[in-house]
Amino acid sequence: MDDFFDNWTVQVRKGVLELFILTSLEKKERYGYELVKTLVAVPGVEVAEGSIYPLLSRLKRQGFVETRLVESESGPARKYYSLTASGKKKTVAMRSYFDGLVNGLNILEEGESK
Amino acid sequence: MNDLEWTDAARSRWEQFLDAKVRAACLDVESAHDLREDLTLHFEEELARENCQMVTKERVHRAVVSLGGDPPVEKAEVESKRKSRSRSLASGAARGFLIMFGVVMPLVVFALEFFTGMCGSTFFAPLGTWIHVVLVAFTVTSNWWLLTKRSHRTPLKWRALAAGASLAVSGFYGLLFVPLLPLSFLALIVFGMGLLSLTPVLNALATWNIARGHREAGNSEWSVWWKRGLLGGILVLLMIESPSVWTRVALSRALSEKDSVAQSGVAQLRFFHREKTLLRACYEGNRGTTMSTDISGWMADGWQLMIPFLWDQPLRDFNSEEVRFIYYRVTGDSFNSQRPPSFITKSSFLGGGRGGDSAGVQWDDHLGGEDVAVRLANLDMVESRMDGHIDASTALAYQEWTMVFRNKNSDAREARMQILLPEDGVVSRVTLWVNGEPQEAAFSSKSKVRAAYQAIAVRQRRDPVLVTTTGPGRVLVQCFPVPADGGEMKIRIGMTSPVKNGQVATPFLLEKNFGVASDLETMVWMQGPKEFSYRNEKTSHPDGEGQSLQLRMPAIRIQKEGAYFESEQEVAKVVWCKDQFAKAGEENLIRRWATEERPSLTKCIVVVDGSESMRSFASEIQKAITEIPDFRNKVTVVIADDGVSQIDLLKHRFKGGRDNGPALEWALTKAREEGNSAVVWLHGPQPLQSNANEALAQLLERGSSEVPLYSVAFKPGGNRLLEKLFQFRSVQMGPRLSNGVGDLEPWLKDLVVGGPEQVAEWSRVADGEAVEGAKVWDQLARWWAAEKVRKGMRQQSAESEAIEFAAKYQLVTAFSGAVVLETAQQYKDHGLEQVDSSTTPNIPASPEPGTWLLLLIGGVASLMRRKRSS
Repeated sequence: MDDFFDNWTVQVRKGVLELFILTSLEKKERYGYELVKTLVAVPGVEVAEGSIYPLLSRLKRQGFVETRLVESESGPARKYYSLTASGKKKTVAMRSYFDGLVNGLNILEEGESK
Repeated sequence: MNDLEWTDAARSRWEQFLDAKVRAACLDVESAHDLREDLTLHFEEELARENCQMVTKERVHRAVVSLGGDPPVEKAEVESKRKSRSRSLASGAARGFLIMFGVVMPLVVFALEFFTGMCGSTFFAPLGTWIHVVLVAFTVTSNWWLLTKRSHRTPLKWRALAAGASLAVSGFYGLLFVPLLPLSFLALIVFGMGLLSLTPVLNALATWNIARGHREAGNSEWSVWWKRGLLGGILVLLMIESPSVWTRVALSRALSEKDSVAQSGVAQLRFFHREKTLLRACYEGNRGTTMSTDISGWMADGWQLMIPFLWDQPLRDFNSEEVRFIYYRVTGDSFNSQRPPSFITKSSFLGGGRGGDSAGVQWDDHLGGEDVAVRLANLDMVESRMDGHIDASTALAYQEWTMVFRNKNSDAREARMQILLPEDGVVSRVTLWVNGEPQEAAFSSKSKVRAAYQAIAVRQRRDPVLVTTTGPGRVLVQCFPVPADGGEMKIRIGMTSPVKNGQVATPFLLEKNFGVASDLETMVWMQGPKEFSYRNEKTSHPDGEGQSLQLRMPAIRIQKEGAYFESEQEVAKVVWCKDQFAKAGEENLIRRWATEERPSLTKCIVVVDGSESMRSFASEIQKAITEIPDFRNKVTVVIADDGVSQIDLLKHRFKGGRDNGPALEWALTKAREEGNSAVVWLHGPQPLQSNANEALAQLLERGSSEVPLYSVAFKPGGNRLLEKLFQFRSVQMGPRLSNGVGDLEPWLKDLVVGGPEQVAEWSRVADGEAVEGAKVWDQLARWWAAEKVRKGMRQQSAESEAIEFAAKYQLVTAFSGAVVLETAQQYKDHGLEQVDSSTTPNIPASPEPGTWLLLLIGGVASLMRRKRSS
């Protein structure tokens, strides 16, 4: 039973990780490790560097995020990620879909209770 | 934060942690790099907050723990590693390719080309100039730098700029080598060597991929700077290559068989051309050298060589004589008056050197020919000496020019030159040193001496020297072989010439195929019975009963300006000499001066060469003409600009090189119509054959009257027109301008206005008969013979009697030449007779006034004869 749950959570996390990354970039640009720390702080999102960095690269290739280098006082320039216009649209659409799913669950739950 | 100091152990522990993180996450190169940078910056910020100066292993350990500790090596990771092993191998191979063809092989090829000129001596010179060297070195360095981890610490824009610029250069070189691909693959299969020529193409691919490794898709900063770098690289290449490519394109148009296209091509070149490229093209092709081409030549047509099956003409085969003709048409100068072009790399893959530069593989197809032709590198005149005797009382001078040539090439070379003799001078002695011993020449018909020279020099490669006439006062001197590897050859040319108006010019080089160092000084020794001066600068000193002067003449005086000696000694009215070549009963030759009235010319037609080389003389020529009394009626000035132009001399645009033939033809026709007229041709070099050659020859040969044509050369250089016409006696030499253009004015005025003129009257008496006047040196007899030949027939022809006469007096004339061979047998084999050294002209051992002494002796003898008769 535990194994089943573990596998299921892994699948869910995997499925929504992109939405979490895009959402976390909606308000401000972030650098890679900052993103890792932000997402790790979110309950239930157990994320590792190994997932975030390749995903950021992919999102960049797909044109949903862009990067810029910001000079750092303590060393080389740091790469910051932010949403592109297309990324913003995609985030809204994904969020809407995700909210729809959660809403669907609520409707199901409410129906059962009636 | 830059003050942070890491212990080795701390650095090692941190790197170990980062490696483990990267491994555990199975990240690609870019993500791994980002993770490393982020974690390192995060840690360094933490250290900064703590004001930490020294990073120890313990501090790193704490950081590692706070960052979640070392990631465990899990089974899944091991499994993942296995799966990704093949991916890693592919990635490793790709990186290997980038290192190999982005850095290693380009560096090897670059060094090989720089030090051996391998491609340059075979196909084209990719490293023709230092700018090309810097560009290629930059590409290799940039690739190397971009492949290092260190480059990631540099701001993105610099990396993008470098990547863009190096791609521009490597892409350009890659394209240049594309035509060599078929040959490269073939060479790779057969000899295993084609990798070298493939490298530039593969380097372009590697450079592209290296740039991609740094590229950040969607990052506009990268894109902007990369494009700037690319554009900058392309602009630099355009700046370097555009002038050459323009020149090549215009040259190919100028070489077109279609007249309108050819003229437009020449105009295009006159508008703009790159001198070096045009000069290089003169040495490429099929006439004289195997000099390889440069990048522009390769781009223009050289590449066609590599894919012969695509073209009707399998070999790059253009006539370089035609290119040299174009060079003159564009610049107004002979191509061989310039130093041959060179590449920065001197040696050659084949060991001997690049064609045209030093040359194991170079051949000289003008060897033994009648052109001075291509300049040969590493063949130089290393010693020059002139000895002379000026005796104004006899109005004669004799000068000997001794020259030593040195050849530093790996095989023997022929030294060729055209010498402008003193005014109305004639070569009367030729000597060659064989094994340290001076050998005298044989004089015979031009064809005979040339045949002997070609047989001995070209085929047997022994030691001859040949002197033949190429124009009024012009001789072609050829000597071969100047031995290889620093070997030397020493020759001497003796010249008899009149002293005109108290002046005699020194000889100088009109055209040459060897170098003369700018600091080479000619040691000059001049002597004479009376005081004389050198260019009004130095005056002779008493030397015994006579005078002498030794001086060092700078190289410019034997190449460009010439020089002269001047004596105020009066000309003796009657002189005589013993003519050793005369038949019995005529041994004593007597010269008396008589005064004749030369009538004023009806018309003097001055033809001014409209070429670039004459531009600087226009105002002085104009001044000389306006000084002539009644010049508006007496003088017609026309400009030779491929046709005949009668516009104001000062308004003419002197540009390029012009065919003077049509203007001379017009002038000769006009002068003949006017009667009692002359043509004066003021010109620079004329190294092109004119279509008017035959028309001119006909005008000089036919008709009842002869129109004198005076040639006045303002600048040194070959003159192909004179070479075709000099056998006509009416073609004469004007003033030598040894003292500058100012010499033209009195000469021209004298010619047009006419007036009393001193004319020599010759007579002979038998030996022993009473002879009045002073006995003088035997140069008098040689001069008599030279004048007889020159004024003899309207068209000097090689009749056996005339040849015998010239040969007997040891003269190089229009139809006789001189050749020095090595052995008596060689002379015999070619039916030649070497002159007896006791009969050759010599500089008198001392400058004693022979005339004075002889006058005294003559007077005493005369007295004794009178006494005997009484």
